[in-house]
Amino acid sequence: MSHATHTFLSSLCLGVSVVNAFFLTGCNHPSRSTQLQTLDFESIVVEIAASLRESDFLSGRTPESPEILLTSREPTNLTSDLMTKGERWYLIDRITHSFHLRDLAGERRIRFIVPAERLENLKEAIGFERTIGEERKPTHVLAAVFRNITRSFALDRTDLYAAHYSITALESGETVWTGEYLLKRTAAGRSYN
Amino acid sequence: MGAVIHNNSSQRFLLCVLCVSAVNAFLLTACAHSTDTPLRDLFDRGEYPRVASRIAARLPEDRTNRDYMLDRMRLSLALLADGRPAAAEPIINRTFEILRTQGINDDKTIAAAILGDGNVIFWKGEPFEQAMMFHYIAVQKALLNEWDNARAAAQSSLFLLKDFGENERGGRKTTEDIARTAVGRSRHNDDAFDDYLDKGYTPTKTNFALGYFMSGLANLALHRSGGDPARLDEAQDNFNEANTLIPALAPVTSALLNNSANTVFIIDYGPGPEKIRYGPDNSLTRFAPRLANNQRPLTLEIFTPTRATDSLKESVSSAPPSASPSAVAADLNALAQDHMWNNFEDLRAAKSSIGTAMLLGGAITASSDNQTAQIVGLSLIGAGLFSKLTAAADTRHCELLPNRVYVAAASITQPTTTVTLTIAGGPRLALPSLNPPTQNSIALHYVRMPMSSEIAQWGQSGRVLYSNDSCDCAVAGDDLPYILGGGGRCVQRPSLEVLRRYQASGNLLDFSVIDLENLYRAEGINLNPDPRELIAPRHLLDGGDSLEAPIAGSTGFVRLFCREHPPYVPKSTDAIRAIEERRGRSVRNK
Repeated sequence: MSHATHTFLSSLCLGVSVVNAFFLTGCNHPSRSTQLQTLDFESIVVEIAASLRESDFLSGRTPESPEILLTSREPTNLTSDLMTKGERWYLIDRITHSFHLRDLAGERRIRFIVPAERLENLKEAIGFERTIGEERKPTHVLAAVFRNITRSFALDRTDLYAAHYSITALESGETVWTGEYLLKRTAAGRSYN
Repeated sequence: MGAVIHNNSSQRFLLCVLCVSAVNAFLLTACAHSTDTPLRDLFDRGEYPRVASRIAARLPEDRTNRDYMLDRMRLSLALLADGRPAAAEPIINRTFEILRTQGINDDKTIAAAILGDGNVIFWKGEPFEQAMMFHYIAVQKALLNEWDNARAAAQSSLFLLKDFGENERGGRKTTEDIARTAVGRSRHNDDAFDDYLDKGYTPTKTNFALGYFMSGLANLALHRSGGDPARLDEAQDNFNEANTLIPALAPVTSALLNNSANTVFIIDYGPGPEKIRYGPDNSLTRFAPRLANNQRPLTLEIFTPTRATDSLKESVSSAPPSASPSAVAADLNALAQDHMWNNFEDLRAAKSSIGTAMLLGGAITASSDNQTAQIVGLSLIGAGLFSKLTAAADTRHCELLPNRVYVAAASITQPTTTVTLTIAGGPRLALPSLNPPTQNSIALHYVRMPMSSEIAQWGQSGRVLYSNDSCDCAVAGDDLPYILGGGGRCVQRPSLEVLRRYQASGNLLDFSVIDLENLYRAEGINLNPDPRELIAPRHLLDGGDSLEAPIAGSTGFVRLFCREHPPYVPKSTDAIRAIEERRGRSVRNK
């Protein structure tokens, strides 16, 4: 292929790409909200669960390791969006549910314990005696905080969301694992319009 | 085209079309939405459940309905005033989602405005209405002790505003000033009108002091419960902004920051401004005060009761009541009149102006000798008439917003404390059965001060007359269900604890909890309502079928439980038999 032909084809490809990009951009309706959507929640839990599964904290454990009794806490929402109780617990429960409990208990010596916030609800809902849960002595707690940074202008807004998870040893206060997932969302349009 | 110009029948046809268009436009205008005055009056009288029921019954599901958002705002306000933040949850969350969606109307054109509800500009409210709604969402979340969500909503109320600057007289530009400038610029270029409105301003930091206050409060509450120092910093920053905008807020924010207050009251007072039409063809709108601006102080006094059943007058402890700092954090008359807080939807003003210009231009060209020009001129007249006849601006607004919002900070240390709120020269409301918040937390109470003189009948005694699920207060007659008459004043949901109290007084000795529940069911009272159907529950004392109690510290609680209700008339044979058996036992005992 001659240099001229190569240059021509390269130019043509570039031109087609530019035109495609133009039309694709033009066809995309701009997002009108930066709020997290269901798929974003799913992305967060999938990524965080994978991060935990591959972590030194988990992979280093054997059937001979000291037992961990892991509870969880209702996540804190420090974003500028509302998060319902259901959404919060979804973002915790989907992490713990992604593990095979029997394998985790047998091979990693980790067992999950009902969170304190849910204990009262359980008692009321199922009619348990008030003594239920008194034996509950967690050694570690799984927590999550969601934050965002907002940059807002007259005609658009960008939010960078950060989902930060951690497991803390309750006795020592040591953070034994952390996981983080970042998401950027942009929206066009006047906020009040 | 030439055939059309020289064809008289075609001209007549065109004129007929124009006339029909004009008549249609007239009819459309005549059918325009009008403000629901009775709803507003009911709200001012404190009849929140009736307001909520009425709105819930007509709540539009069609998003193209211009009342879709407005009715949700109204319903949210009615439920909050009635002390039902949990019932408001789905509606409130939906309004947040809508408010957080930006540029909903960016793609719409003036034509959409002309065509009305069929091709609507979505009603999202003026910016000040939107900021207030974010505030109420923050209040609802705080009432449910979700301070992080309250923080999110309060922060959302602090959006950028558009500042068109000052007029030649040195004052803030009015909407009319802005419209006039836009029209002036559009004389030589049609696009200049929209360009000026879209780009002729400076994006400006908000002056919504109430939003900063709520954001500071939410951060402080998070700091107190979680110990995060970053939240304290954020609380201080927000309080500083609020204090800068309204220096009178400083004593309130200081009391909160120095831990001398653990309870905050958000108090709405008076009817908010009303949107009215004015100007050429009634095409412009402005907000007119329904209650004049004044800075009448609010006094908050705390009474520690000696006995829960005492009336306020009798229950004052030996120590004098303690006063707490308060201030006006939002003056809605002022917000509504500032162009920064208006969205210029009455750019129907533009439409009206365009109509006028077309009419004028049309009259000139129609009088010419050229037949083409005549047709064009007639068309312009028709379009102008059409535009003029539909030019009257839409005055839809949230008429349930208050005139002003007071905030007050107090320290409540004893259970079943009574707090009185008095607006100088205005109403007084006593809020009984308030408890201190749990350790390291802040309690928030939202109060809507009713305007009518009816408040004198039930708002001032501070005495709870019916035992209910929202307070632990002992009430004379709480040893018998209200539905069984005989002086019974208990409207608590049936439970073992409640039944034992009845039985300790010798009542319903042969009843089990199941029997008691069945008695309520026989009376048609819904003990396990579907949360989705709880949007506007009517309480048993209001003649409804619900035992869901408004939360203590709300106006709805006072309205329902601090005034006498007529004796219950049982409907079921089970209830009548239970009453007769009780009467018989009572006679035998004598």
